[in-house]
Amino acid sequence: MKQDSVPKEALQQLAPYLWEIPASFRSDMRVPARLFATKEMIDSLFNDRTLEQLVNVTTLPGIQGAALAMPDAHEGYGFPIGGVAGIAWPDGVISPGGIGYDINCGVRLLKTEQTYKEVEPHLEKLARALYAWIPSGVGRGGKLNLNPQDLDNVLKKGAAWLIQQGFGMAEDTEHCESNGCLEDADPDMVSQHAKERSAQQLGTMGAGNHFVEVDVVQKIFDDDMAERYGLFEGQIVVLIHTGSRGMGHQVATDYIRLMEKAMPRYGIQLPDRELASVPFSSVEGQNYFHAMNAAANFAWANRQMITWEIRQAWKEEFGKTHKELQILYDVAHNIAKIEEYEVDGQKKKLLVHRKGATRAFHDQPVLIPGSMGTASYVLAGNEESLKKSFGSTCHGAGRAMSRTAAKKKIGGRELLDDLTKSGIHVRAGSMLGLAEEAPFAYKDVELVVDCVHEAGIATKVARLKPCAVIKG
Amino acid sequence: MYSYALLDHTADVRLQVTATTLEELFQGAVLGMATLLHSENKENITISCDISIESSSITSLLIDFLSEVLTLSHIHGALFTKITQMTLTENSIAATIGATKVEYFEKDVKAVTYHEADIVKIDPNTLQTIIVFDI
Repeated sequence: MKQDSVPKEALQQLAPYLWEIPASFRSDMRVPARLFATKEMIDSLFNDRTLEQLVNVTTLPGIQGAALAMPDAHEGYGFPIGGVAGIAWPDGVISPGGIGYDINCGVRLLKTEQTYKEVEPHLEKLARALYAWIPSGVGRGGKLNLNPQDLDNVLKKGAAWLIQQGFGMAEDTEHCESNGCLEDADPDMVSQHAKERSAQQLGTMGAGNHFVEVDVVQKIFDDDMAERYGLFEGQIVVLIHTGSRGMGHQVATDYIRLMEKAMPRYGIQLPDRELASVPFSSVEGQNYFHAMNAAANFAWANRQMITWEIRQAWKEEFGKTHKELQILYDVAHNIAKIEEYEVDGQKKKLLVHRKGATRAFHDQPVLIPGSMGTASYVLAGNEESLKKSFGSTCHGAGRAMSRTAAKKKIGGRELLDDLTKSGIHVRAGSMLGLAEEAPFAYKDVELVVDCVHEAGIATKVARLKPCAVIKG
Repeated sequence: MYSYALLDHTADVRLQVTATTLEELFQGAVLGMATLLHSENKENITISCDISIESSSITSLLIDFLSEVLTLSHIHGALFTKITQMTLTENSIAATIGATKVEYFEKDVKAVTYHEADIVKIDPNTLQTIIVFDI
C-alpha cells in the first residue's frame, strides 16, 4: 500500500490553469497526474488526500495520457471527486471507484417561457407544490411501486420507458446525454438487493446535496450560444440534481466488494482498496459494466419522473395554458463510457471514467449546480475539452466545510430566514439537513467555473440565480 | 465494552469505534451506524434478519457486514441496532441482527466504504477502527 503524501515541489505548472505531477514522482505511476486549477486553488488541494488519490489513479492498468482532476476536485474514495481517467478499451481495467457510489448522479435543466416577473408572485406556492409533488428525504417512497418486470424495463430502457408509460414527451430523451439510455445494460447483472432497495425510489430526490431548484437566468455570457440553447435573461428555469438512489449505491457496493476479492486472480495490485479494478473484458468487468449501465438508466428514469412531477406542480400553479416545460439537457457526472480520443497521435477507444466530472463535448450544454444560495451555471462544451480533458469538465463546487462545522456556524431556522430574506423560497424536510447544506459549506462555484472557462475546457453561457429550493 | 464517536469529515461522515473484543467492535459499529441513520429511541426490536458473510480480512469483514446491515435497513425501512447472535472468525461472520421499523432516516447513507478502515490494537486490551460512510 503506497500512500505517500504529495509535496508541493512535485507539482509543475504546464500552463496558466494546468499543473502536473510527472510520472517519475512515484515508481508505480504509469502516466502523469494533471489538474486544472488556478494558483489560488492549489493550496487547498494539500489539505486533504486529493493529490495522493490522483497519483493512485495513474497506477491503473491501461490508463492513457494522464489521470486528470477538475478544479472542483476534492478527496473521495479511490478516485478523487472531480477525477477523470481514460483507460484503454477493451484491454484495460474498469473501476467502480472511478464512477462512485451514486452511479449517474447528474443534472437536468428544464426551460420555461416565463419570466421572473411573471413567476415571482407564485414562488411561495410553487415551492410548496414542488415539495408536495417530489418525494424527498430518506425513506419516503415514490409514486410508482415497480413490479420486477417494470423495474427491469427501467433498467433496460431508462427514461424512454417512463415516457412510454405517459410520464413525459417523446422529444424529452433527445435532450439527454446518450438519449437517457445506455444500451449495454443488463438487469440480470443487478443484485436482488439493489432491486429491492430501489423498487420504490423512482421519482424521488433523496437528501444531502441533491435538490430541485427554480432559478432565474441572471446573466448571459455568450449571446449566440444562449440563443441556440433557448436561454434569455430573466427567464425561469428548473434544475434537478439527483442520481440513481439506492440502485446505484447497491450496484457500487456489490461490485467493489466483488472486485476486491477478484483482483488477486488477475495479478492486479493497487495502492487503495477503493480503486478495486478488474480487466474490462473479464467476467467480473463485463458484469459490472452491464450493471453500471442499468443503474445509469435508472438515474435517467428517475430524473424523467421528477420532470413529470415538476410539470404537474407547474400545471397546478399556472393552469394548463402555459407551454410545457422543455428539457435543455440532462448530463451525468458519475459514469464510465466508451469514447474515442487521440492519444500520442493515435485514435484510440477508451473507457472514460468520470467521477464528479461532466462530459463536455463540442456545443453540448454542461450544467453546473451551485449550492442553494449561490449561482448555478450553464456552460458549453468545446473542441479543447476533447484535446485536453477527455471531453470532460467540472461538475460543481464541492464541499469545503464538514457538516458538523456548518451546523455549528448556523442553525437551520436561521439559514432558512436568511435565504428567505434574500428572495429564495426554501422547502426542506429537515432543518438540521438544511444547515448542513449551507452555501458557505461549499467551495466558490464562481472560481471553479472561471477556471474551466479560462482553461478552455468549457465556455460560460449563462449564470442562474436560485429563487426557490426544494431539499430533502 | 465498546464506544463510538462521530468525527469531523469534510464531505462525508467518519465513525470511530473502540472496543475490547472483536464481537463488541462489530456491535459498536452497528449501533454507531444506526445512530447516524436515526438519532431517536431504537429499543423496540420487531424485525430479525440473518447475515452470513466471508471476506478476505477482519477489516473487510466488518465493512462488508455493515454494508449488508445498511442494505437491509433500506430494504426494510428499519434501524438495526442489536446483534442478538454472532459466530465470528477472522474472515467470516454468521449473525442474527434485530431492528425496529422507522418512518424515515435522518441521513442518506449511500454506502459503507473501505476508506481509512483498519482494525488495530491501540493497547493490549483495546481495538479501534475508523469507518467512513459515503453520504
